[in-house]
Amino acid sequence: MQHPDEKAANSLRQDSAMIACRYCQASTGQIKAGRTKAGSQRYRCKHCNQRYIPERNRRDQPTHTPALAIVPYVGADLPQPVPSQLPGVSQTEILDVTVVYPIVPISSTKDESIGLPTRAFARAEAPVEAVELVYSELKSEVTSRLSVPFAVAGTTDSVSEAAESASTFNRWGWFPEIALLNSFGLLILAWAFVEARAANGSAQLLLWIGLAVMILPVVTRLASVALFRRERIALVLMLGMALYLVKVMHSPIAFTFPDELSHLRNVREILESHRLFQETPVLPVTAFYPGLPTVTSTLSSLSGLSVFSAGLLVIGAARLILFLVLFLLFEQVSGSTRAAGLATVFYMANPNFLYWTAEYAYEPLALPLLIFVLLMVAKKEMANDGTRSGAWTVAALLVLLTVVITHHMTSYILTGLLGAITVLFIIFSRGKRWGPWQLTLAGLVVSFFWLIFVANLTIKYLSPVLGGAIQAFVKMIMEEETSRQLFISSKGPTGASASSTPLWEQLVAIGSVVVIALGLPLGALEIWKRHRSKVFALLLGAIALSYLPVQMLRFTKAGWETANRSSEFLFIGIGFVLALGIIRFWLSHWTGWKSKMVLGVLSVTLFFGGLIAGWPPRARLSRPYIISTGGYLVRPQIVTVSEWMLEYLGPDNRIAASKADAKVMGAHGQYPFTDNGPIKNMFLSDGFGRSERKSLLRRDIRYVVSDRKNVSWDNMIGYYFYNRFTTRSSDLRLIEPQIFGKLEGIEGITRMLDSGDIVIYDVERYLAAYEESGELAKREPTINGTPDTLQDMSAVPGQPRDLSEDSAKSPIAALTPLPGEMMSGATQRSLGTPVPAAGCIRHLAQLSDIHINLTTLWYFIVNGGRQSNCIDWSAP
Amino acid sequence: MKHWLNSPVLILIAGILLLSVVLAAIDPSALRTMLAVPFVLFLPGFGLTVILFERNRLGMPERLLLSVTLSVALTALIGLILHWTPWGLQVTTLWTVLLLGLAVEVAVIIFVRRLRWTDAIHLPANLNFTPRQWVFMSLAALVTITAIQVARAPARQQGFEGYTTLWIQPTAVLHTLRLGVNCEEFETTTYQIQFELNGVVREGPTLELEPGEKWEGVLRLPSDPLIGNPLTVFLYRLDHPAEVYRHVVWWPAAE
Repeated sequence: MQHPDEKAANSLRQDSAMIACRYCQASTGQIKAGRTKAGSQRYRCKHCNQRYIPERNRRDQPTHTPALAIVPYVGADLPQPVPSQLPGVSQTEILDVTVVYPIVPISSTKDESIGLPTRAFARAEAPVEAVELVYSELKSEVTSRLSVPFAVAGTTDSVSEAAESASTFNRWGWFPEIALLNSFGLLILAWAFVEARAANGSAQLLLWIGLAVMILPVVTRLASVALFRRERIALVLMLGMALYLVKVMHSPIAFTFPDELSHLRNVREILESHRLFQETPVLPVTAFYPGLPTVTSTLSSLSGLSVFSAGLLVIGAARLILFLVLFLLFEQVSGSTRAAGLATVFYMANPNFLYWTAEYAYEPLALPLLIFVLLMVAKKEMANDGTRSGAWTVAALLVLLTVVITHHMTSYILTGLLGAITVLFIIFSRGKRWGPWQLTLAGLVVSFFWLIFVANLTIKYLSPVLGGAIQAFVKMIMEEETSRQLFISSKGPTGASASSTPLWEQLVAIGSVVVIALGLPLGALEIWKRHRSKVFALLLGAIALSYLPVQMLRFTKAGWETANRSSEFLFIGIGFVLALGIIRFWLSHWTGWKSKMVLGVLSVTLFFGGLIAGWPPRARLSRPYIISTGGYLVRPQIVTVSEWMLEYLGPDNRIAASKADAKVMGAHGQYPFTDNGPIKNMFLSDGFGRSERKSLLRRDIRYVVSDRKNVSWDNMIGYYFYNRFTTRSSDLRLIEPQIFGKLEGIEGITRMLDSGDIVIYDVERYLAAYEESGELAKREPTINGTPDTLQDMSAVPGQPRDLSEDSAKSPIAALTPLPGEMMSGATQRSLGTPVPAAGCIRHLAQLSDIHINLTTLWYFIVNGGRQSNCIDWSAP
Repeated sequence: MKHWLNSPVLILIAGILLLSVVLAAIDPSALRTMLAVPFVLFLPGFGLTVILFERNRLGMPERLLLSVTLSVALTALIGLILHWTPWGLQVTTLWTVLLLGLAVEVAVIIFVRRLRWTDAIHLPANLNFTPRQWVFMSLAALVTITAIQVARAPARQQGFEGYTTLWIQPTAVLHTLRLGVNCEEFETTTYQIQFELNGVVREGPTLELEPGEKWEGVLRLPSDPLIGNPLTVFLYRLDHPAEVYRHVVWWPAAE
């Protein structure tokens, strides 16, 4: 069934069959005389020799006076211009609400290529709501295309009545109802997260249901024609901010995403030192891009908010900017609020949207600023009133500078895009217009200056990633590299077997790529047919078309990350092109509610596919970060340990730790070292010898933070509590006891803290001795005697309690096992499972110190100085 | 009544006043927060937008976008400039610079652009919600807040384990150690501490700690006999007295 609006549009086309001169009204001797830049056919009348763009056939026009005239208004203050007094505007350009008329281009515009929408019309016998609808649609489109104010003008009293009704008519449409639906979607997601923390299997299903409830109604509504601009913007903003709340609800207590912890350190450094560019050990390059931490620390210090709350607000503001700027850019380029709304929602289907670009990191702030600069350039270059275009440039320049100090890659991409726009402008205008060349130049100079003189570490940081991607791609083409298998996660942190994505998820992810692959050519065709004169439309089209080639990088081991990370940029074009294609080739032909529902389902598929492709399954759902004990909230061990370390050992201690632990400790002011090489080998191999010592010495490490949880090597999920009832046994897997306990009993290594899963060793003395002598094992222990009692342990004045006083009252005397049993028990407890070689530990503990050290000496001689773990001790 | 409900200016002013009074009564720092957030994330950019763009040139979405974006940009750039000054990014410096910046913007708006705030702000005449839509919007806000509260709720204890941290650390005083126990268990727990040196075990204090409670003690050790020998401290839970729950080992510094 054809939509009434489409019927009206068809009648328009039929009406244009007969041509009559607009000046002498002659219907004969009308010949074609080229086209306008907008593509409209121009005619010349042989009788009066006037050139004109034909008005529509008015055979069916009623004879009464038009009830409402809507014209683009060029001039100063509002309102009531008489259409005939406007240059280039005749009465025929008035939109009569009782019949359907096209809006023809106005010759007074500076850039005729922009043209006016030909899609805006009202239905025959339209009620006043439709009048308002047309008014709204025209206003947004005309304003966005021509950047001129828009006013209602007319010739009868009914004009003022209609205008008045337009101003009071409710423009929110179904927004409140959909907002309520969206909030229920959020509630379902909150439930999903609660279930996930309790390790209930229903959480995954609830996640998908909640997301579908949020996306489906918005897309369905945005696909409709009869929406006001206000409602479209409100819907887009609501969906975008609700999806940001999903990330907030995922980690509602603290920053737990790996990159967030690196940036958290930057903010804390600024708050403490009041200076930028402080050293950040875990991700050093972030310190040289202080845009995000500067804003956050300013907000935190002025408002008194915690860094976490201030960070959420800053990223929330960035998300608000992102959705608004995307909508306005798409609207500016396409001239359609409908396309803008759909394109913005399609952008949200990018694989990194839900979590990656919503986390507290520099790119999520820089990305909206990049699009903002593009919008400012588009506004300036497409403005037709010629007034104050410098304002757009000033705004763009300020934000451009902010992008440069906020994120490296985004600033380079922005400079590249500005360069591309400049080149396109020069080509299109044959050298007459240079587009945003000043901004391009500024971007080049400032980015280069920042890279060379401030953040030269960026080169070292980016070159392996980008170089690796390029090399991998070339090798893949040359068939020298084995392709990476899709949907198979890499090996676990400690060499656990790879896990694959469920079949249905694979199908959805592939389906989403297929939808994009099918939609892009249609959108590209639409751009070519109707928007090829627009530089920005071509640019967005080119960005979109680069999607599929870039996705080839996913098949390479070194390039998949680049492919994944590029999606938040590529989807700016993809969203736009898909929206144009769908509106032109789908919604214009199939307009019923079923069509919109199918579109909604496809959009949900796109979104799901993106999430599946971009975010690992293990990190999609929330994990338990705090446990309630009634009046007190228990946090993960690594958080407590990090806070203890900062409080008692101070900041900037050089430590070796697993990946997740290093992130948390780095955020808490320490200087952690972690890697996939020597540090990881030190923790996960069963020996502790020369290479490990050298590794520690070379990095001047003092503390070794040993975590027995395998999952602590996974920096996506290594920060949480783990439920014993969880279905994922891999989350509960522990490092082999003999490996975890290999530093036990080594002379000179102080076991400083024991929290069960985490043990902190102070290796300073041990390494110092090793460094001095070159062979620690050859040193004889110095034993000057053994105390009989600990009674001489006395309290320091002013300290809380005296241990010796308590010892006499201890009820544990009767329970005290033999020293050897105690050690055995301690080991069993701390390692979590029975120790295969517990006997050796007992043996070790029962020996006198001199025995232990002699044994140590002997073993070092046998093993060439390579200290061994406990199991080896029992061998001799 | 309906007109009043639909006037965003009146609603905004009334809301701010009400919130201010409530926050000032409950927590004065919240009032600071409420003032500081727009001061950082909205006002600097809004002032600049009024200066740069002619009135009626921008719609509400455009003005909101420009205000927030330019505020973020100005704050970041001001922070960068302050970094190179002797004062850095201190609270007083930030307040001073941002207030001065805002004052300059207001002066330009009033004396150069000759605009009134009513011209500059240009709020829409009304929100135009019907009573039914107000109900829907209120319900949506309520459900959203509920969802966030549900998501923020801590996990239940089933399936999880609490933990206890035992630590030892030398102090600045020679042969003196600090010893501590942090209870992060889910219930009140009784501990027993023991010390072991050269195979000789001595009992330490018995502790009863509630979740979140910390205990610290100081050990003054005999000097000579400790050289080259470790001190081991064991922590037992009295509900599992046969197993050492935690232990730490301290090696004295080499002479």
